[in-house]
Amino acid sequence: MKRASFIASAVIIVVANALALAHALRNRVGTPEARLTLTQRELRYVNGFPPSDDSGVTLRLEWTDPSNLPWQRPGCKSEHLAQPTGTPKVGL
Amino acid sequence: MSSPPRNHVPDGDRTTAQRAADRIRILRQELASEEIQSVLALNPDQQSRFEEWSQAKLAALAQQFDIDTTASQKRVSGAMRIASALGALALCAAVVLFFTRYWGYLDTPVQLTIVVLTPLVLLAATEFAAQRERTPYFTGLLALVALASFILNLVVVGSIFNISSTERALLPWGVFACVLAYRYGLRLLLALGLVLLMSYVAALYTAEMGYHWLDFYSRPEHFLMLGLFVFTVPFYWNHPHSTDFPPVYRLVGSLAFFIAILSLAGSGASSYLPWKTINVERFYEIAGLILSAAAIWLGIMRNWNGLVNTGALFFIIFLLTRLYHWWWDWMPRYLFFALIGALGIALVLAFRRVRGTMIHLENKALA
Repeated sequence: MKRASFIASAVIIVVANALALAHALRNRVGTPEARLTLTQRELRYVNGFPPSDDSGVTLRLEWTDPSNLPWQRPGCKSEHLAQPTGTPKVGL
Repeated sequence: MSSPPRNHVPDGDRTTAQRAADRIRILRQELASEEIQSVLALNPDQQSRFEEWSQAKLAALAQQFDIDTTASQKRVSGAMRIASALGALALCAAVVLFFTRYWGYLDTPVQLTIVVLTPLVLLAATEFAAQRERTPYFTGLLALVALASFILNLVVVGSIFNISSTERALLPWGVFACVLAYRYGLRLLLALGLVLLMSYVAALYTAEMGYHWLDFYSRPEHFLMLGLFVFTVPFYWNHPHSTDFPPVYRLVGSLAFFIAILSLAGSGASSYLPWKTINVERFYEIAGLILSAAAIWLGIMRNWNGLVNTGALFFIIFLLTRLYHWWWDWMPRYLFFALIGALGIALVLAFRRVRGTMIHLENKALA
């Protein structure tokens, strides 16, 4: 019993990882609902900062919500708004 | 008088042993002073018996708990604690940066193996250090790095498999920190664990309400209630083997409580109270003043130095905030600061008066 809390600490690490991996596995089994082919235009490679300290590869999905374009909102005139030069970004 | 002096080491933790050693050390110093000897002179037999007993007792305590038996040792131990904490923080940064530097060159299975094994290896190293040393310096250092590795572990697993960010990871991190804190008697780990668990409960409630879990800090009233709960934990949960843990609960609880009130006094829009924002802010400002004064009073009554200091700090902050709102706009700046200075002097005088009254009452009780 002296080692109970030590064993409990190790169990917490193992169980937390097992749950995370099971979640990832469950997300990948079965037939995909849809397939989407992306090019470099939508899926942009992002350099780590500073690059010498980060060897990881990050891809960023650039997306636009067509139902929420600012110049299509009621009362907004397109000449009052500059055309968007960038789009909302989301990490992948 | 004929029974031999007992060389009994009390049960309990290192903090209790350190307090016992401090009392014996001070008693030895006082008995050696000329002033005490003029009113309480031990005969040579008593003197030698006391010397023999006190030296044996200090040696036994030092042998069992590796405590400090002189003032110089205590100063060195303080420096070691600071060095241990700074070293642990630097090692945490080193682990994260080392992994970031090289993880792009590794395959996913290797990345996964490394991030899962690192906290387990560091946990084993912490256990090994705890068995080898009686002071918690290396143990504390390794335990903190193990916690940082476990946090890195779940963050990296989530990043590799693109798992949606949720509040759930805060729970194993918090529990892990608390288990390590109780196993090895580490106050810093306990404070971190409590902060993580409070964040988890606040984030869980925020997510249940339909907001993104990361917005949990935008509703300070969650932390107000959680801080109050954490503060009260030592009232119904005794810590006979970790006598230095209740002050940690009180410190973390009171800090969360007063920071939440301060935040609401500054931005009442984030409150649940169905009032106008300005009224909410005024309410929490006044509540902060009254409750911080109450915290000082409770700290004095219970002899909780940490609570007195926390209460005093927040009382000054709330007072300055209130005075700023009252006077800053219509008063010359020099006059504002002059009045603050005068208020400081008035507070010192008031506290001196309170102190004098307390001394008088204590003397009366002793008489």
